[in-house]
Amino acid sequence: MDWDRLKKAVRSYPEVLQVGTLLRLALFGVPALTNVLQRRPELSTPLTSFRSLKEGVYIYERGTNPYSGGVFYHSPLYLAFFTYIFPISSNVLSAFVFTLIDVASAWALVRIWKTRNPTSDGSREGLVSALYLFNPYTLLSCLARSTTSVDNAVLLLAIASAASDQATIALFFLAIAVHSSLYPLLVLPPIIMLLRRPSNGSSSPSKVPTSTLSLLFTFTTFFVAFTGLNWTLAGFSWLRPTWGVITNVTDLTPNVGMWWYFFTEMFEHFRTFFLGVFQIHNLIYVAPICMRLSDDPLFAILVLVGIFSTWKSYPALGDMALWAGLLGCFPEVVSNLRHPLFTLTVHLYTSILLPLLHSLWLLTGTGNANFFYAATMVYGLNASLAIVDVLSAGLRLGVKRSVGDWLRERKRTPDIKGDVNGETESPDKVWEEKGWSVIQFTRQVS
Amino acid sequence: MLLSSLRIIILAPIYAAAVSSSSFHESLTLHPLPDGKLSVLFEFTTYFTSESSSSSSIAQSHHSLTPPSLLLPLEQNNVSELTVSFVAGRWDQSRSSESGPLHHESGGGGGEVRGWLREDEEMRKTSSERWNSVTHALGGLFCAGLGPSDEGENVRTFGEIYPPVIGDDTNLTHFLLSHPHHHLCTENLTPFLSLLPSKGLSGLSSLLAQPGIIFSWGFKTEGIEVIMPSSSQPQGRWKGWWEGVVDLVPERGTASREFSIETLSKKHVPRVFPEAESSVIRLIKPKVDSDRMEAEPAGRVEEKWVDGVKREVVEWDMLDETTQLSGKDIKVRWNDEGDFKYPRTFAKAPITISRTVVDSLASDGTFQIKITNNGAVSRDAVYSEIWPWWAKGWMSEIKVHIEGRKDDPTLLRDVEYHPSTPPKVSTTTLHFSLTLPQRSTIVLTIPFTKLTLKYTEHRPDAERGVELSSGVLTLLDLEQNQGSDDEARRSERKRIYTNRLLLDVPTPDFSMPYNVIIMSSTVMAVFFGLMQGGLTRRWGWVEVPKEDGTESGNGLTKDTMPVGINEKEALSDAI
Repeated sequence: MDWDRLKKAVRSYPEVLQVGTLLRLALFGVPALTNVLQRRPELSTPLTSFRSLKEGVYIYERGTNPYSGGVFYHSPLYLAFFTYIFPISSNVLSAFVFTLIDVASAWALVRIWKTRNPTSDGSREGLVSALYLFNPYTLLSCLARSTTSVDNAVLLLAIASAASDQATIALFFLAIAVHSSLYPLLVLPPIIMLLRRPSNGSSSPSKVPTSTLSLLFTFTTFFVAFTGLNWTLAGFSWLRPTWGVITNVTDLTPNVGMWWYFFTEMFEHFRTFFLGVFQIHNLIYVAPICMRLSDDPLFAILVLVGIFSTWKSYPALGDMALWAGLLGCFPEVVSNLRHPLFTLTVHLYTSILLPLLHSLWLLTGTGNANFFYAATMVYGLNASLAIVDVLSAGLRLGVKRSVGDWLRERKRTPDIKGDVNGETESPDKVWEEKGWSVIQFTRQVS
Repeated sequence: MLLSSLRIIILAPIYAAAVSSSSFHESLTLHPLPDGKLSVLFEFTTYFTSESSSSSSIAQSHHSLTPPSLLLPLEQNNVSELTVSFVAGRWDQSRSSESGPLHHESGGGGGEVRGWLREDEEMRKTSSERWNSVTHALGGLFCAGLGPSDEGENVRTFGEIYPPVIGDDTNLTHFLLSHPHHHLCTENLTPFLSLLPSKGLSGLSSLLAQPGIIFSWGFKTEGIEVIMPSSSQPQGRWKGWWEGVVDLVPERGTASREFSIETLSKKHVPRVFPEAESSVIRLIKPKVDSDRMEAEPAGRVEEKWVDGVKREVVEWDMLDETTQLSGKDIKVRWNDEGDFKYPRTFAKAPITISRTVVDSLASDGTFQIKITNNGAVSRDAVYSEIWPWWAKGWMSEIKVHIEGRKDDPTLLRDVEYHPSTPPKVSTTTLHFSLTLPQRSTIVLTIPFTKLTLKYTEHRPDAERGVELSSGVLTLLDLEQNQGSDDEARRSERKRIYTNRLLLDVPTPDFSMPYNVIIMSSTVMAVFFGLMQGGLTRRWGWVEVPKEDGTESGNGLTKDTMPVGINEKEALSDAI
């Protein structure tokens, strides 16, 4: 294998997109593979499964409301899109749509990277898109035609637009994302923070930040407009099977998350209490993260996306792909991670464990539910530790930056000899040479 | 003289009620099957009338032929028609050459209650409340849990499958409750006998009142069918049936299959029940070997259409003074036949149906329904299914084809789909309008997924699996007209049932609730704790001396430690 050529290819971002597209289209040409992947519970939950979507569209096209029986959980937006715009019955067309959607996600990620590093020469763009497009979780979700890929693309477009100060477009996409999977509502505060930053490298300095109220108003307008669109399609019958299922977890089909077995085994009289605990657990991080990471809203978005990808009620591996893709835009955070190898190997381990234990329980019927539960526990714990690692890495990076600024300031004063050899050298290297390390004190922030 | 005339005056109203308005008929039908078995059907029919339109039209005393314990709950809840059916065992369509048991109203596997309720604005309760109270009352009567354990178990879309016997369905609501897990047993026989006017003491019912004998038979079905009198139809009817299949040659090739009333029931032909207006024993001669078959004493022979085939029926009237059957025996034998030889092939039943699960995984599967029309004409039919809420069918993936050919969507004219509403207890019902081409088998495949049940929703002994109700094939083109040319349609069998199906469901570990709560909560707590630590604690920096340096220790030296903290003091606050 020619390593240098590969490195060079990864540097070229359009080439990565082309290869990603071709790879997807080629793999879509193997129906045996896509049919198997479509049934995998790790890749699609009942809320994002292509089979369910097809069923819903089939019922809808025959003049019946698919939401009247409790088996269809997709947003009416999906129903309309795949009924009127792209007929779902065509396998070729849906293969193109899902490929295009992944390419759009990669494009959005590159935009996020560019706005974050306006001075970069574009050598990392290929890597950022390749990290998303060739992540096995992304690739398999796409081949499974899981609508998680679509949700991811919409959310990434929202974040990318927010990062490049296109408030209306950002809130438009965010409204779609919230409609289809509800949890993206948690990133509304950091997105507003992102849009209200005083200055952005790529934007013109004369930009006047829009007020929070007007941004909220724009978001609400889009949100209500989509609700109205849904209403014209199916009245309000879609509320209970879509958002109702996300919040009340009435469908207990196994997935990689922590919820399904918990609520299968839950005593009926504690169910409401623990539903509250699990949902509030997602909600509770929004305010502290936004406050602590107020100087970098994009990083706050990264951490929040990680949290709800792991702790949402119906997660799939595709949600982790979104987080991993976003993480690709933060190479300085990645280099500060404490245990990236551990995280990666446990992901590898769970990707073997999950299908194996799933088939033991639900295919051959020889194991029981504890098998698959154990695998989801490993997955959930690993993902949780990875989020903590990313958060710590971000905070550590913050300390390093502040120390760097402080040292530069001191360098200008004559009594101290230069500690830092200019800005060109990476701070990580300097810190390593000096034997400095960032630590977390037991004292609270005063 | 005076005394006797007084007696007449006193008893007159009772005689009027009991004799003039009600009549009781009983019959026993024997039908030898080609595989050396015998179908035995008891039928007890009582006709009764409501003499006035007042609410007390049903006799409340025990001096009548009608059982008040059965009819009063029906009347109070304004029931128009009601059928209760229990089936145990498996009807073998391929070896009996019949699509189902002799009695056409017996349902599929397990227990089933179905009926029509009259809408009445004067009634305070809703129809489903009345249905619940009537099913619970009958459940108590039959010692079987017939009532719904949840409102959602009631099926209301089977009205067209079981149309009302009298009149049309205006102002009527149909209900059906299927209990496929129910098993017919001795507890259900005793209450059945006590409903009969002869109480199992005399007449044909005395042959039935022997649980030790009749429960040793293979396939069994018991049931009642009640048609309540109404203002337009003052005569009501209630009918009880009991049918069983006796294996005449339990060990193959070791005995002759000749039988008599005595070998079947260890009793002679009983005395006639005095109140019976008719009491008949019938023998339907088999399709094959019927000319070799001989019955003694000889009875009256007539020809009748049974299930599209003209059959000879021998009839003995027990009320006939000349024959004096009671105390004697009726023997049936096949001339020149020694030990019964099991046939290698069987004549095919006009229509056979089977349902299996293929591609069976613990969480998914595909129902495969095979319907064979052995007749010479194409038939129109509706195939219906009832599923519990956790069986989720994929409507977009349903396929129909003729065996050995490609998919043919024209065979499936229409699908009526009433989805369940999980997670509430509810039922999915499906009605497929099908065309059954002559002499071919059509295959209907329905992929389905088993939704995950909460651990409290499983039945006891969950690993055994859960029974699914029988599928029903309703024939739409039966000819009641005896002058019709089309033989296959000359039948009164409107419905053909599949066997019930045992589905295994993926189970959680029932001993795990506490462990799962503890372990999942621990992961959540670990995450929350680490996040909280990271977000609220102060971050700073220290200098750790090189390992080859002169200073050793735990990494935090005297010099660097305070410097790190002091110099960072201002910085960390900003972070």
